[in-house]
Parts: sequence; structure tokens; C-alpha cells
Amino acid sequence: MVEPQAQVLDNIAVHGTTDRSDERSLIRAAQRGDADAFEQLVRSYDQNVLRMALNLLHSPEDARDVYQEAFLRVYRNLPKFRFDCSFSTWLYRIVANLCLDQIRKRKVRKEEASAIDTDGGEVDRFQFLPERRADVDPQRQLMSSEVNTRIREVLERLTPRERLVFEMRHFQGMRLRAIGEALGVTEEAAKNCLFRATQKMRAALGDFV
Amino acid sequence: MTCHQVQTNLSVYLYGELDFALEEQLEEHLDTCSLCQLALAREKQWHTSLNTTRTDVPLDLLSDCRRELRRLIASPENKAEPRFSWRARISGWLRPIGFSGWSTRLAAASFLVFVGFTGGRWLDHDGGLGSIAGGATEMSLVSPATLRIRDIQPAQNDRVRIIVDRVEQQQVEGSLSDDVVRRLLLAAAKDPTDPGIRVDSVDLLKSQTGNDVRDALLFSVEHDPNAAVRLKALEGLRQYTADPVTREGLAVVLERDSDPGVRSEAIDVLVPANGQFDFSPGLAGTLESILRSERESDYVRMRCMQALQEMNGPGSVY
Repeated sequence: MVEPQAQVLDNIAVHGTTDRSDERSLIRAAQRGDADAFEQLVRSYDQNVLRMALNLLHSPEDARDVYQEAFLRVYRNLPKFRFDCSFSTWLYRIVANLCLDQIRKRKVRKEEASAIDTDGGEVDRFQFLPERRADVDPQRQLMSSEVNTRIREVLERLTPRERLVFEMRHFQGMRLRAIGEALGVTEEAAKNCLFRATQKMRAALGDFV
Repeated sequence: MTCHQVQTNLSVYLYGELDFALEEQLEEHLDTCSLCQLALAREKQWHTSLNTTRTDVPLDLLSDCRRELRRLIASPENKAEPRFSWRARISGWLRPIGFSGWSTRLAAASFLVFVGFTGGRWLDHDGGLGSIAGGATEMSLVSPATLRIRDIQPAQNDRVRIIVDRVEQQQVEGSLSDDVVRRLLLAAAKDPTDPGIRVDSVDLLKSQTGNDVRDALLFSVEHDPNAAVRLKALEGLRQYTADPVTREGLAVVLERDSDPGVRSEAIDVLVPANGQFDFSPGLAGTLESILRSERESDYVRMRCMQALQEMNGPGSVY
């Protein structure tokens, strides 16, 4: 125990202290070496980063690697960050590149990431994620797995860049301009990419939903 | 705009990414074309079904990632590069003109002496930084991680009064039975800002016993907005199923929780599949009520019926 108990308990209500704090101030504080500020910065984005990596890679292990590498790169290079773009654009650029690298590596290795062998035959690796308890409700499990399977099949057919743009726009809610900046392409190019992705999704899911 | 043009642009339209002129043309067309209205409805439908299949971030994985990141950052090889290194910069300037090793250090020392001498004379001359000393210019004071400005009030004579809440980081280490640790965990289980913290706290609390722990778990089960936290709390409540307060809470969850997965877990906690539950008089009424209210999950209905049959012996019909 480091601190007297009473003093510690006085400070239980530590949350909500940065509700109004400005991200720029947090970044500057983190640049000065403030570990708390860095951690808060991470926590503002890390759920979305992990979700994006999981949705794109369908592998908790790979998503974990992307998470660690992305935030480590941010940590190492934050002192050089000069606010030339928004922090989120910079972060998503790192995450997008790491995800693209993973997808390309898989193609080279011809790794079948979504299926693993078990005693009971080949099963979907994604089912091992501790998701919301679809497994205890057979009806929900069936519907969920059918739709999920179809979506995953369609997503697998998209090019890595199309998948990335679709994920960023549909699931992360990013604007096309920001997606373009993160991927180093024009807004128009990002829009074309989204257009192609949605055409493919529509064609594949049209009769299913 | 033709039907084909409208229908190919529907997704981008739904994302709100069409430019203003195109959006107007598309909406004008939609107003008059029932075929395209139908296409829009289908487009919305597949967008919505995509959203429902979206995976929640597994909070255990998130917690692991955060812990691992903290560990990696603390390791010496990952220390961030200093933002601004005068030494490196001066060395960089001097290297091309033949300074290196001791000569660089000597040159740097001379430079610093020069800066100190000149700076001192300048400060003596016109007050220099003294003119702003004592003002609120120390940016390090305003660390957003530890300070929150609660209020700013104008005062007399061009002065201002700023009310600042300051939070100091402290480390608390102790066993789970330690009162302070326990109370911190109980508070963290209700932390509205971070589901990762809540799930970690609930995960630790579920191995503990006591009414305070039970109440915290019930609070999480009934009020936490995150389904993963609610599920974790339900795991912890397994040890309290004989307790009437817990049963009451579980009945509330079964009647009100919007997530069928949580309801399925709740019925398993209330009436475990192995049949080892107390046949208390109130339980049958609760199960009958759930059976009537449950419309979505066949699993919950099936488990209620099984439990009621077990209570009443074979042959009973519900």
C-alpha cells in the first residue's frame, strides 16, 4: 500500500476528469512525456483500432499484433508529430498500413486465417472469439453465423484496399476525406474504392437480406 | 438522373458522401420513382444487417492488449525519442565542419557559456522573462490527464479566478481481500468512462463474496450498457443464486435486457442446466412470468419450461 487509505479513497472519483480536455492538449502533454496523457490518448482510440483490426483480419492474434505495433509506433514517434494532420488520421494511417501488410503477408503465405483444424474438423477461427453469447442461443447463433459467413465471404472477395475503405467508412464511420488522408489517396479515389466495395456487397447480399 | 445512376449511387448517398448537387438530383428522382424507393429500402436493409453482425470488441482481449502495451512501453528499448535534443542538434551542425568527440563537447560547452552570458545580460537589461513570471504561463500546469478546469470566473481589476480540480495518480497494491482494494474495485465496476476497466473490476470481484460484491454485480447486470460487462457480472452471480435479492435481479434482467445472449446466460444462472437449483416458492412464479414475456429467445423459453417441469415432476404441462 503506497498511500494512506483515507487519502486514496478520497480520490476514488478520478473518472471524467478529461471529459472536456482537448485532444491537442493531451498530445502535447504526451509529447512532454506525460504517461497518463498518453494512456488517455490510447484509450480514446484503442477500442476502434482493435475492432478495425479484428474486422479486417479475423484473427485475435493478428489484431493484437496490429494494436501493439500501432500504438508503439505512435509512442515512439509522437515527439515528432507536428499536427500537420489530425491525430486520428495519423493513427489510422499507421493502422491501415499494418493491416494491409498483414493481409498481404497472408496472401504470400497462403495462410487460411479464418479456418483452423480441431478434433471436430475444420472450424471458423472467429468463433473462438469471446463474443457476446451467441453460443447459448441456438436461434441467434444460426442467424448470426449465416449472415456472418456470407459477409465474411464477400469481404474476402474485396481487394485489401476496398476492404479497408469499406471498414473505415461503414464500421468506423470515417469520412471519405479522412479515409483518403489516412490511405494517402485522394477523396475521389477513396470514394471510387467505396463504390466498388458496396457494389460487390450489394450484389452478394442483395438476395440474402 | 436515370434509375441506373440513382441505384448505383445509393450506398454513397446513405453514407452522406454525395456532393450537394448530386444529392439533390437523386432525392428529386426518389420522390417520383417507386422502383428506386424500393431499391433504397433494400439498400438500407443490407446496411442495417451489416451493422447487426458487427463484432463487439472482446473486452478480455482489449484488457490484455492494454496490459501488454503498458509493459512494452515501460521496457527500456521502447523509450520515446526526446522531442528536441540540443546536444544531437549541435553535434549535427558541427560534424560537417570537422568537429567531433572532445572538440564537439568543448565547442558545445563554449556555446552554452556564451548563451548564458548573453542571456543574463539581456534579462538584466529589460526585465526579460521577468515580465511574465508569476503569470499563468506554465503550460505544464495544465496537464489534461491530471487537471480539470471546473470554472472560470471574471474577477475585479482585470483578474480572473480559475477553479481547478487536480487529480494525482497513486498506486494501490494489495490483496483482493484488502478493504481499500475492494472498495476501489467496487467503484471501478461503475466507472462510466471505460468498459475495459469495468470488465476487469467485475472479473476480479466475481471471485469475492459479500453483500457489497453481490450488489455491485447486480448493479452491473441491471445497468451496465455493455453486454460483455453484464455477462461477466452474471458469471459472478452464480454463487448467489439461492439468494432472493439475486433472483429478483435476475428476473429483472430476463424481463428487460435487450440482448438475447445476456438473457440466455441469465436463465442459466437462475436455473442451472444440471438441475441443481432451489425449488423456492417464488421461483416458479418468476419462471412463469418470464415464459409469458419472452418473445425472442427460444432458448430462454425452453430452459424455463424445463425448470418448471423439473419442479413439478414429469407430466406437468406449461
